[in-house]
Amino acid sequence: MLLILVTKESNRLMTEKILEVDNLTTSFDTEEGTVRAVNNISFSIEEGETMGIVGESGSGKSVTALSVMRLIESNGSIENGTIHYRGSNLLEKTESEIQSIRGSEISMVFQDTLDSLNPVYTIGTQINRVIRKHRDMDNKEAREETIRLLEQVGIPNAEERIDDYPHQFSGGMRQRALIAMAISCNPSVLIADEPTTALDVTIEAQIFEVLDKIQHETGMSIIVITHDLGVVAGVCDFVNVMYGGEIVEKSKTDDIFGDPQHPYTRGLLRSIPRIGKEEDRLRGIEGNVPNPAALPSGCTFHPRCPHATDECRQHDPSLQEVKRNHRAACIHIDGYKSLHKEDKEIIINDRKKGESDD
Amino acid sequence: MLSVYKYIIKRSLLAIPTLLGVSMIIFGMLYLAPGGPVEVMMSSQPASAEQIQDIRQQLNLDEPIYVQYGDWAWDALHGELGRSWSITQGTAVNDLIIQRIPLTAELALLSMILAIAIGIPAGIIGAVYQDQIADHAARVVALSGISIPDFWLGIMLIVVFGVQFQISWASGSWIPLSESVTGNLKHLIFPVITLGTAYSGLIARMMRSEMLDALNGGYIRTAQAMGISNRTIVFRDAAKNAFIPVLTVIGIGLARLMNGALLTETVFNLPGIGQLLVTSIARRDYRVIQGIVLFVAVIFIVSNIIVDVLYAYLDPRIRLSGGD
Ligand SMILES: Nc1ncnc2c1ncn2[C@@H]1O[C@H](COP(=O)(O)OP(=O)(O)OP(=O)(O)O)[C@@H](O)[C@H]1O
Ligand code: SF4
Ligand SMILES: [Mg+2]
Repeated sequence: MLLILVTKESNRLMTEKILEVDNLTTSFDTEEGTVRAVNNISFSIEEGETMGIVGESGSGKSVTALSVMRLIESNGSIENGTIHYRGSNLLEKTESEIQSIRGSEISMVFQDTLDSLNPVYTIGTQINRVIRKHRDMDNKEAREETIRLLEQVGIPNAEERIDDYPHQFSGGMRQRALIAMAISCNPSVLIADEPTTALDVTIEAQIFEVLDKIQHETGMSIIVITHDLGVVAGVCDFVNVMYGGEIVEKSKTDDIFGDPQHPYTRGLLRSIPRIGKEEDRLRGIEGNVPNPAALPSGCTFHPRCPHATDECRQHDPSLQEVKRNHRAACIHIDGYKSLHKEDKEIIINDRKKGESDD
Repeated sequence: MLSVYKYIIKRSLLAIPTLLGVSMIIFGMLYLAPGGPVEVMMSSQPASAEQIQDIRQQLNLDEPIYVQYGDWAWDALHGELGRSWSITQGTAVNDLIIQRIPLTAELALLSMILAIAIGIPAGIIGAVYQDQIADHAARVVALSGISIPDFWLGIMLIVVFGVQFQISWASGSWIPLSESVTGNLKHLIFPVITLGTAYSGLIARMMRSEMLDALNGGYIRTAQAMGISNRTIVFRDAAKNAFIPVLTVIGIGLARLMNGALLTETVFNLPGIGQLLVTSIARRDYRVIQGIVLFVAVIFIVSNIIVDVLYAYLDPRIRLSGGD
């Protein structure tokens, strides 16, 4: 047992994984019962890499990010799994330990809504205090640093704009300010949850350029959360496709686009609108995202899947390597090892265990 | 900053028509009320129709009402509220008010401070510990503050502490601040509790709901993700946003406090503006009544302007747009 742990540990060091999420399950207590918003997902990211999490609305992308930040709302909890940051499990940290990691080691940018910055404090004040919280700087130094950061994310006249209030900034500028705040303490991991959804394409491109530039300068790892495969194609090294709280496909970006395996991913790819072909949007995936309080049996995608069979309704496929460095969770993929009897038993037992845990 | 001055001027100009309307209503209403002033004044001693006519003439009551209003309003504009008609006959209304204002102002101010001191923390606690025991406790306190009538609480305090425990300063009356500071404050303890708690409930309830709103703000999540401590988030991020709208209620509450002062002063036998108003109404001393009501209206309007300006000052979204 000890031996296994040691090997695992040294593996981790060898591959320089910054962040490793294993078997993460996060659930919420709701009026409809317990909702498993994230179900047994694993991923890891190395230094300087950009990872994408893509999926429709409600697939569990934000909950994944918030779990890593340990910012799950009070009605939710991380049921199972580990989240290792530089080898130590974030889930074992005290609140004050995690506070000193947030913003300085692992940071997060949210989609700009009108109130994602505090309306009653200036942009400068809000960035300034993050710097002073995590870095050894006095007020004056922090102010200079703030100006430098605002310039870095492309805000013109940063020296003057630093004293503006959020409502005096445009949406794109607020998003830049949020990025400046998130990178102000040189985090190793930056999670960007739909950072450009509210912006037009030109600004979106500029924002990702900024992120790319900073990544080159600092070597930070970035997790980009989006429902836009175009964004993924542009910026990610590898991708996790999420559906119903599970990762259903993961591989290098090129492989996902060049040779998508899971029917859901294929559906998503078909739904990318191409210029001049707006009607393509309509050829997306029929049906709706499942209600997480009542997920379908077997493969959660089966009600919407054009290839669904009886087997799909009974067995929940696990994520398996179907090609080299390419994993997917679908019974009917060529490379997928069919479910052996033992596998089925394990799955059934697991499920029973999950139910009795509740 | 220039826009703040512009804002103040704009708000002050807007107050002029309000004041004009208020003064007309104040003046007209009393004349519509049944029981002519002179008849009531003379009711204690038999008076001939001739005598009554004499007095009416003296007081200019035979002039058309708009002339009377014009005279009164013109004087009021110059800070002259006229002279009392009744027992204190001849005393300038200004003097009557000035005599009594320190007590009422002290009572209102202390009550306001008490109300804020209870209401704001109670509201914050209620929101932070939403639906937990601390929240329920704060809500019970707030609700009782709102629903217990001021005068009833006042009377109960007098009965329990003044009558039952024979604490001399608990049963009412008053010592001027100039005579004894401690004596003065002691006598105000129960009136302030009576008035302040009633109002604290309102502030607590409002603060709680504004805090809950603020705590749901996106900027709270942003601050959390930056590792800012919960304490800072509650007190610096959420509370400041929540307090801005609560401030408006506090401003409007000043009028409520004036109302409350009327009852509280009567219950505790405090010679303030409220008591003066009550006795003046009993005596149909029209000039004094008009003077007091106008005075209170002016205070109310001015405090509203101050609150609006403060609001604009605290909320950059309004401050920087010049309040449009
Ligand atoms: N606090 C909560 N209480 C109950 N359910 C929640 C809570 N937070 C998230 N969920 C549920 O978890 C599921 C996943 O939500 P999540 O926010 O992660 O979706 P998402 O993939 O980020 O979608 P979007 O693209 O809309 O942001 C949703 O069904 C949502 O209803
Ligand atoms: S397992 Fe079956 S239902 Fe699920 S994606 Fe594959 S084919 Fe479709
Ligand atoms: Mg989301």
